[in-house]
Amino acid sequence: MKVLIADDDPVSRRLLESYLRKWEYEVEVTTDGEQAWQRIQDGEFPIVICDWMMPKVDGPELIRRIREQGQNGYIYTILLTSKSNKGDFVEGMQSGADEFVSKPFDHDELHARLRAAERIVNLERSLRAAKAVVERDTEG
Amino acid sequence: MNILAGAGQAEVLDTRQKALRINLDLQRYGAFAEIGAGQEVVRWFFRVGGAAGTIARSISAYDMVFSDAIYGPCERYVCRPRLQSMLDKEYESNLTLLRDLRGDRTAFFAFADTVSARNFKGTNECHGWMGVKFQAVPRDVESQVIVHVRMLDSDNVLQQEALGVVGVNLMFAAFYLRDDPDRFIESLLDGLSVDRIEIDMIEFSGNAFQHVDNRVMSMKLVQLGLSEAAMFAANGTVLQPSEVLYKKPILVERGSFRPVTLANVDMLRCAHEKFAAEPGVDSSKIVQLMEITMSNLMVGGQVDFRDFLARADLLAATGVTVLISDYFEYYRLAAYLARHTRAQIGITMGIPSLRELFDKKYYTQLQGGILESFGRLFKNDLKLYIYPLIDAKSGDFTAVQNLEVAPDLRKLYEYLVEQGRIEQLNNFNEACLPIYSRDVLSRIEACDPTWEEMVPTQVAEVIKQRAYFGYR
Repeated sequence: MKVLIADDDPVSRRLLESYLRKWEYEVEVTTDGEQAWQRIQDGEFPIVICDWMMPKVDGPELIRRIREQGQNGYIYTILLTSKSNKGDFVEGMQSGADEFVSKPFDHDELHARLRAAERIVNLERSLRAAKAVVERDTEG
Repeated sequence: MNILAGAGQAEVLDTRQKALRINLDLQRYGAFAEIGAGQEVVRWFFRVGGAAGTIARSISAYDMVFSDAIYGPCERYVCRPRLQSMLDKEYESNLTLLRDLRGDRTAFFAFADTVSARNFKGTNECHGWMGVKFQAVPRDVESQVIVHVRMLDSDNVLQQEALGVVGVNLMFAAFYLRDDPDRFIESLLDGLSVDRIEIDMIEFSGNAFQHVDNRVMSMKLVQLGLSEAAMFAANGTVLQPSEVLYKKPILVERGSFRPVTLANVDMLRCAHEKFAAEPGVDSSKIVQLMEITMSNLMVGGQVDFRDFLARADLLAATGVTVLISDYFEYYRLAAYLARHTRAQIGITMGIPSLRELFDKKYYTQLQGGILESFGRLFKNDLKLYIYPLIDAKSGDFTAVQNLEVAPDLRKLYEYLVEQGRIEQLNNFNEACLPIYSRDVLSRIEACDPTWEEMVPTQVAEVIKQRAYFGYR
């Protein structure tokens, strides 16, 4: 499954990339929110992992744009941040994030959340496919 | 111990015998000038007899006004420039006054030392500079050997005594052991031990030592145990560590540097950026060192001098100061640096070194084990700057955040990270991460020209010019 990473911190970005490739995801890496937004518009990324603090477009703003635009398929978003208080969590989730993971992240925990993300994305895809069949049969 | 082989018989000379041999050498004639710890060296020559054939004059200019009147003004009295002015003055006086009279049959010398022995309260650093400037043979141009000594005895009288022995040893070696560098250096502690005297700098110059490489001799000081560390500048000049490090913030990168790569240079650059930004660090005064430990230089218990000089030449090409040390354990390196400065100390290392740092097998000799070692290492706000690791084959990326340490050390590791004592560098050049010295070497051996992209341009040039590491 394709995953887009958006993180301006090279260590965090490299770590994510290294883990995700080991877990056999198809990974694309961007270094800021604006670059990530361009890639989302150009290609299909069912999962996006983004840092909160980034130049140009920050994580919550990137997620808001994703939700406002309304893509063809659902994009599962994980907001990765060193912010950890309740207010930050609420703000992050209100922007439309599906998950909120604190840095430094535990790789086992992240892997588990990605598997959950895959399940949801696959479920949404099968629902969408079933819906398309129903609509086609109804129209027919 | 010095052993002179003669007529098929090994002869062991003690200090008295060495002084006597010099006194009985009809060619040797010169002056002694000593400041600061009695006239301990010349005293040996007076005591053993026959001094009239050796000593033209002996002076001990204790009073600063007298000292300045003879040798010129100076800011400090126990320093290398003062020693040099003493040697120059006394040597020139010999030549001026005696050359015409006996120059055809005399090899003149000037011996000098300027020393700070233990004061009454025991509050001073006990060290000194000592040297001999001499003609190897009559009418020869001058040669010179300078050493810096640290006196480790806790008693002033013992320090003076040790200093006298070193002085005689130095003169004897300069006159009779010039052709055997190992024995030259080893003999400096004849009649003494490393518990009493440390010699942390030696410099040879002049006609008799044209073929001596001072970097090799510095390294030999460490190899033979006369010092635990030695230092030289990019231009090959031997440095006295305390003069370089005194009160300065110090940043060290340890490595094998075989050869120095773009990754090595990038690591030091990254760490320097972070270190310079630390509160309390005067960035204009930072001393950067690349350190090679003796264990990194030894192969099968031996040092390959050509290999050592190749590494030293390549480090010189990057313009960095080199520290050779016998401090395998980082806490010992930290203690050594802290002896010279109270300013901040930073050590930068890669992930493999950090992993080793948390390996308990290295601390079994310490009663307090790894806790004791970390207590010593992280004294005085010392900080570690960690360069990440990428596995070229698997692409696995390892940083402070995901380094696996033994479960029982995990909390300690996390504590040190949270306290900022271990900091992950995040300003690295990603292109440098997959560069390893061993790959450079194997590509050089395989005549694969891509190795040149893995080292600084000036380093590649030196490797090619001098055909280092099997380049062809």
